[in-house]
Amino acid sequence: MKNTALKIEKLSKEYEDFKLDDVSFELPKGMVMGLVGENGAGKTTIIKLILNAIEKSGGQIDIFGMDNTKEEIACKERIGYVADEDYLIVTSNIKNYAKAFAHIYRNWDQELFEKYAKMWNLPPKKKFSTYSKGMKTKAMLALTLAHHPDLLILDEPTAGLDPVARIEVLDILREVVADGDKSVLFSTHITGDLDKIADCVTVLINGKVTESMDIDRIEEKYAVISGPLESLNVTNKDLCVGVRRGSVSFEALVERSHLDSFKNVSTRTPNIENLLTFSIWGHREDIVELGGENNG
Amino acid sequence: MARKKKEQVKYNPSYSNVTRTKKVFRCLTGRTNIVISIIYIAMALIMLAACVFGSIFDTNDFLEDKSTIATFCCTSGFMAFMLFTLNSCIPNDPAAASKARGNLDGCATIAETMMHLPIRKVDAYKLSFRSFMISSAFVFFSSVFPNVMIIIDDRFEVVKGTLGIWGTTAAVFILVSYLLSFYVIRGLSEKARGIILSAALVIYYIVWIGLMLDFADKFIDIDMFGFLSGYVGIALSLICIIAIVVIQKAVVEKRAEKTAWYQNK
Repeated sequence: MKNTALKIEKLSKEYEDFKLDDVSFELPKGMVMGLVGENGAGKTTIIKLILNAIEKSGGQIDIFGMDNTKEEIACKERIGYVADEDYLIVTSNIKNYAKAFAHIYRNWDQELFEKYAKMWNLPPKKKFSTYSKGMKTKAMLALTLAHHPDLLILDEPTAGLDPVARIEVLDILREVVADGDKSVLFSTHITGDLDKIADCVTVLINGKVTESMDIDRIEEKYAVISGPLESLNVTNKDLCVGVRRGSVSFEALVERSHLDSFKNVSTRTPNIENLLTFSIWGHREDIVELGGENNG
Repeated sequence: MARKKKEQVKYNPSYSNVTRTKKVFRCLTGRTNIVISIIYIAMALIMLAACVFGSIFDTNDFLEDKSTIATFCCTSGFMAFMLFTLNSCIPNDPAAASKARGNLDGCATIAETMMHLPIRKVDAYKLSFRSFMISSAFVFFSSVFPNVMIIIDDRFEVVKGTLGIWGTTAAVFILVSYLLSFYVIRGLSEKARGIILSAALVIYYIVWIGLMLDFADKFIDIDMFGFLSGYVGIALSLICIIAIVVIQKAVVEKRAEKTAWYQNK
């Protein structure tokens, strides 16, 4: 527990049309975890539950060993949160926010905040309504980083940003996580954002965790295979995490231990995007009947 | 340089959680909120002062027009209600907050910002309750003071009916707006909550206009509501205020300590 920044156990949340089901994963201290999934997979719901914004139906969330609801203030003092949908009051400005943060965070570092604000050209007295989306994200990052959080929670921080702003925000994040002091939970559906940043990844499909592992383990555990459609049959298709089929060929993500079951296929090393997309396709194939049965 | 140092805020460990939450609220909302709040308070105070001084020093003239008392009372009540709305940081239903964000240019995000910071929901509720009680104090004073005047001065007998209706309307309005604003009644959809709150406000206006322009006299015998004034009127106000405080302490704050920011979501 001492080396765990965030521990989620059997977390569930039920809505009328969506269920977060039995979610468990652990984020070790100093690690960057990518929380990946489609839009609507439940990533933001998990983050809202971590922040005690919404009521959980069951399970447990511990932040640095503390219950996130019973010790809410102590937990949140150590959390820095950057959202996709900004929570900035558009009629206010970053100077007002910095004052508010100075009142509420013991570790508030005004000099560091001013350094970031100057470096990222954030006008202190201009209303947030005049900020671009990229500037708002940078403003939230400046405010968040200036209170020296131990755990950064980033909820799709690059969503909706133009390419330049996205690259700039990712550069900032790379710099922030470079020293390995901070634990980061980075929720995104743009898996490319996690390249060179993430140490581990948790895949969320329709409210369920399908995989939670170190990035290095993806290469060790899985392989992407491709070959003629004939190589896919009734027996081995069930061994695939997910399959993408064309008219004559297919691509699939399989565990390396099952590679022997596939003949005439070539293999390559998967990345986070492969893990996510094939997991999604695998889930969809549970619903859509595979024509592959005829190939057996 | 000296000015810069003066502006720099630092974490003060001696602050209570509610005080710290209040400081954050003030910083987030900025000076405009303070200025508008002061204007509302000033207007409510002016209306109440006019009512008090008018009834004490110019009693005969004051009573010649029975509608005067309704105007003073209802206007101060309206100002007080606006004051609470302006200073509330209760987390609303996310869908309502999102809609309000569009309509009010960001006011709804105060609670959304707060829920990400080291602030407890119960402290946001406590802070909002303070604001509600300040607002309610205006309304109750505007009801209790004329009732005291009725008891000590026989000449006020002529406005007994008006005061009876006003006092009862004010008490019901305050109670309903409290129960809905602080999510005491659970299970109501945001739409239903809005409709009931709007209906309460409309009824409040109708009573105000009816009493102010003497419309009510044409449809009902206002004097028969006189029994709701005097000691009964004061008791009604006290019961209402005590009920609100008890519900707040025994139910709302206890529930807020245990529940997430967005209730039932």
